[in-house]
Order: sequence, then structure tokens, then C-alpha cells
Amino acid sequence: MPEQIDPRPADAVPSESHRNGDAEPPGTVATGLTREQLPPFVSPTDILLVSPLHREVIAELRWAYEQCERGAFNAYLGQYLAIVNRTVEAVGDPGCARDEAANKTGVPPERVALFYVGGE
Amino acid sequence: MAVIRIPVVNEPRQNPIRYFDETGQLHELPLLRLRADILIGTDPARSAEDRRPQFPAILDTGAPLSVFPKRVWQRFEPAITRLRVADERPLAGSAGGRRFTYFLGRVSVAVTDLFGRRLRAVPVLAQFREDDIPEGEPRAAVPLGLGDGILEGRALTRWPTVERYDPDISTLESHGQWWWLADP
Repeated sequence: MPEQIDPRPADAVPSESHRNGDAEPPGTVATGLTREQLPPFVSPTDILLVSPLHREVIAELRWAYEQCERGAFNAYLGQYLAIVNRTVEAVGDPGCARDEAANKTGVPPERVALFYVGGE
Repeated sequence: MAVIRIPVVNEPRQNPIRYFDETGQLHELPLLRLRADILIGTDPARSAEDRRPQFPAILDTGAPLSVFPKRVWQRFEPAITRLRVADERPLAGSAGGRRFTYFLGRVSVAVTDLFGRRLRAVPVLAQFREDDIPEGEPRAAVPLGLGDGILEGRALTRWPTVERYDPDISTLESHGQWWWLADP
């Protein structure tokens, strides 16, 4: 059974139907997806959720994906970025960058979000 | 059935490639990749206690197997089960024009998405690279390949969409496609 908690990250953006004012059916969890946004064989309520720690990591990743699309990370091609509080704290190998960011910010290493800047 | 979304990201290029189409309109060549964020290790009994490390990866159905660079797998080496090859010989592969030796192993991998959904961890057969990438060269990504990996027994679906943005991040372009990965 999926956990019945509100998974919505603090800065989650409502889905298109929510923006249009459609309420979710009573008794469903907030999945962020509508029936129309899913393949027909998937139920919008049948989801597994990440832990509170990983919700914080994902909030950092959401920011990182946006920055990447805007070109803000173009200087870091082929590097791993270690991110805490929407700040790139370290760059380089994944392990070293994660430890360096954790040491600088005082958070545990698993709270640091790692982001890879692909591209060419 | 559990489901996650797989974001499509237009990766940066040092020198963007622009071209004129048949009508003379200028376009920039996209460099789209399916990105996935993974958690290493088996699922804990309770989600609230889940402190597994997260790593970025690329979902690559053109790759035969998943590949972990040395600087990545060294962070979770105790979680890897090394497998013995039938004929005793060094294993070698190549990626991006670079040859490397590797060992075969299996590790549990869970996948998350940018809303906070996840799929259960599954055992993934992978190549674990043993080469050191010289300082100054681009670090290797983690491709999640087609064989014996996170796609095993799951449905990967691509839907064309006219929606401009990703459902999970309203500023992330959809690039005309939405992807899902679902457990049966």
C-alpha cells in the first residue's frame, strides 16, 4: 500500500488541471498527476512516495533541472554538482563533491543533492 | 502499480548547433536525454527512515547494460554483490571512445521523480568501471541500460504531447513528450 501522506513538495507547482480549478476526488492522495496525464493502465492514486529527507533532496533537484535548462550550468559540462539550499557548494567527482558540500554546509552527506551536467 | 515520470532535459552544448529547416526557419539542434535520479540500496522497511544516497543517472535504452563509473560506485561498494564470470578473463568495455576494464555485479536501485514519487528498488546487473578518469576530463555519467536493469518487468511509456511544459515542473519544457515508468 502506498503511504497516505501528502507528498507535495513545499514548492510544488500544481498540475494543469489544478490550475484550472479542478478538485482532486475525495480520498485520493495528492499525486500531482491527473487521469489525463497518465497512461490508461496507471491509476493516479497508486504511487509510492519518497522519504522526508529525499523530498528535500528533490526540491534541490527541481531547482537544478530548471537552472540546467536555462543554461546556468553550461560552465560545468561533464561535472557533478553538489547542491544544498539552491546553491552549488562543490563541483567535481560525485563522492568528493558530496562530502565537500556536506562539510561546508553542515548537513549530512545524504541530504546533499547530486546533479550531473551532461551535454557536450 | 506504482508510477513515476521521467523528465526529458535539453542538455547544454558548448557550441550550440543551429540549422535552417526547409522553409528557411532557424532552429537549434536539441540534445535531449531522459534523466533519472536513483537511490542505491534495498528499500527500507519504512519510507520515513530512508536515508539512501541519491545519484543522478541517464535512462539509456541504447545501452545494453547499466554502467557505474568508479568514482560513483566507490561510494556504495558494500552494497554491490560481485559476480564471477564463467571464463576467467579481464572484462573490457568502451564508452565515449574510451576503453575501460570493469567487473560485473548487482546492486539494488530505486528510481525517483521530481515530484517525489518512487518505484521500488530492484536488483540491477551492471558494469562497474575500474578506470580512473584523468583530472580535467569530463566525468562519466551513469547510463541505466536496457538489460537486467530498472526497466525489467516495467512499462516505459512515451506520450507525444502538445503541452509546452512538464507536469511536475511548470517551467521545464516538455519537448513534445511525456514519459512514464510504471510497475505492473
